[in-house]
Amino acid sequence: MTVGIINYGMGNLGSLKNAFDFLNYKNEIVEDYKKIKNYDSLILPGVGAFPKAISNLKKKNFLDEIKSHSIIKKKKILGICLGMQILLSSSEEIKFTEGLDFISGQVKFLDLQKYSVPHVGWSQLKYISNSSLFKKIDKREFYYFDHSYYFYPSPKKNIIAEITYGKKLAAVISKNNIFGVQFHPEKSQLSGLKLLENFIKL
Amino acid sequence: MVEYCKQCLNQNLSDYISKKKTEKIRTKSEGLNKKGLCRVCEYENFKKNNKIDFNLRIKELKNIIRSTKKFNNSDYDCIVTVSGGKDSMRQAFYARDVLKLNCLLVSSVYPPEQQTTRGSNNLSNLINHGFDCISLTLDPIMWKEFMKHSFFEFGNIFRPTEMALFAIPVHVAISFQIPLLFYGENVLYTTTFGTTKEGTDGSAQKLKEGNTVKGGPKSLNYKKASKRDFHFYDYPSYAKMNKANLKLVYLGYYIKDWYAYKNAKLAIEKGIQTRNDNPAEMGDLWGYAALDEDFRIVNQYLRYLKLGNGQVTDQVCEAIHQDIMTREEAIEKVKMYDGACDDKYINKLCKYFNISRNEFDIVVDNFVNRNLFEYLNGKWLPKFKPE
Repeated sequence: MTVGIINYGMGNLGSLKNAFDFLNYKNEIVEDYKKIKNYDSLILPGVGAFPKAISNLKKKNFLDEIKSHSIIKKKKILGICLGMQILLSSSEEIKFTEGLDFISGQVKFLDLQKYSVPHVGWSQLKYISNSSLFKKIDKREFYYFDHSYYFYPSPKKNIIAEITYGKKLAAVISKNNIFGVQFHPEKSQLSGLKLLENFIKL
Repeated sequence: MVEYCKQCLNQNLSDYISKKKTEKIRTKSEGLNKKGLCRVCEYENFKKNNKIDFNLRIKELKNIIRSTKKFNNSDYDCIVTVSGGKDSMRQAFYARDVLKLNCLLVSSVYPPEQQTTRGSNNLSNLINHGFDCISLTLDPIMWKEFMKHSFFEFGNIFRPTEMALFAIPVHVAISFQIPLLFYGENVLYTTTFGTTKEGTDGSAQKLKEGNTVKGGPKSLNYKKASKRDFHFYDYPSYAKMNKANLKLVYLGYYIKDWYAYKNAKLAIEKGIQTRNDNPAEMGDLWGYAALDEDFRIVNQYLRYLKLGNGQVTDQVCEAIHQDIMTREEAIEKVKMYDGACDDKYINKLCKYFNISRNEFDIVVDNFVNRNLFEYLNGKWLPKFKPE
């Protein structure tokens, strides 16, 4: 079983690849949309701005293949950071842009007066519902965040864990075979690596 | 047969260490990969091949620093934990001169009975380079009590000391509302084992869960201490840390050439005093560690008897990684000096604890790893040798 890490020109994928190498899971950086169908598990990473991410995914013809993988074939996908936001309906970053809409919700600017934006650093999670993603992981673990836009569902739906940083923010979301984490598991020590392993084992 | 890493001299001790009596087991006993290399070598080779983007790490560090600004209610940007030794020199100068931060140094100073003159001089030397520093010294009577208790209970003199060294700066950071705190290195990456080949991050957020300090002062099982006695040994709760938006960062993760040897070289140029003791007496090749007191030397000896490796093993492994020593030379050095500890240090500790040498030896006999050592001609000798 090979893990596919989608490369659509948004961020450095080296750390993710190293994480899966360390966990001894075969993994490949996916450059060609035609190859998406070969994977049982997909990772949608992402660093940068939402509109550019969507336009890059379109340019590389990834969008339809990702939809087919996740919605038609119901295979697993994990969005990380911006990758998580892309799984949602839309974002107001720079200009209104539609996302994949796998989970409904809007990504908004983290408009905080007393807090630094972007939110950078390690935070502990508050768990809202159970998920196998966190199997055998200590609840007190810290995860590394780096983002200026956020998502929080109202009513609380599809949310596994949240953090409070000036306001409540979704840290982990999931709906059926779709998973998203606002933080970077590949930069969150052993607990982050364990989370990636749990995702593969789901 | 103890297996050694093919590139350095880290051992694979998984079959030799029972998990009951030692605390550091997991860090040193990790197995070797298919090529016979330890985790540290995997990390170092990865780094040598320029596969780690240190520019990206610096960018990450700067983002973290920037994100603390709004939570800062002080004129200092950060706290740097220091002793005046080599690593603290590197950190303090890096934070001030490279990162351009206003630093408040925080030092936990040993009680006068334990502190060496050299240690005091080194801290003065660092401050004389133009730093503000808060020095905190804890009640010497309880300090000694805890150390003695830890020695008898765990065969490790420094558990309580390490708790205090880590916890004090966090207390200061919260009190002074400075939300950024630097520590030196994450030993998980640099001397023992990493996570992924490149390591995952520079977070020291979970420092209190580290091997020897895990559980905090309660885990010392010292019943007679009051809450006040333990105050500065006890790490502030995560709730308090989170409320202060405190970020704890290992600077070593972000600096490519963070090596004890390199740090010492820079520190010596800036006036640090090192040890002139003989390596065969102190089990230390270079004499730039444990400058501010002498009992670390005894503690390294205890570690050696429990785990089969001491400070010289750490030093030669690091030297191999920096290409300043061959593996053959390293083998010689380990055979000659690892685990060495002259009677004068042990006697000094016995005097400090007010115990007899016989009492000391009984503790040693109780904690020595009999799978690795045998008692011959009045001495514990290793059954293994590096090759």
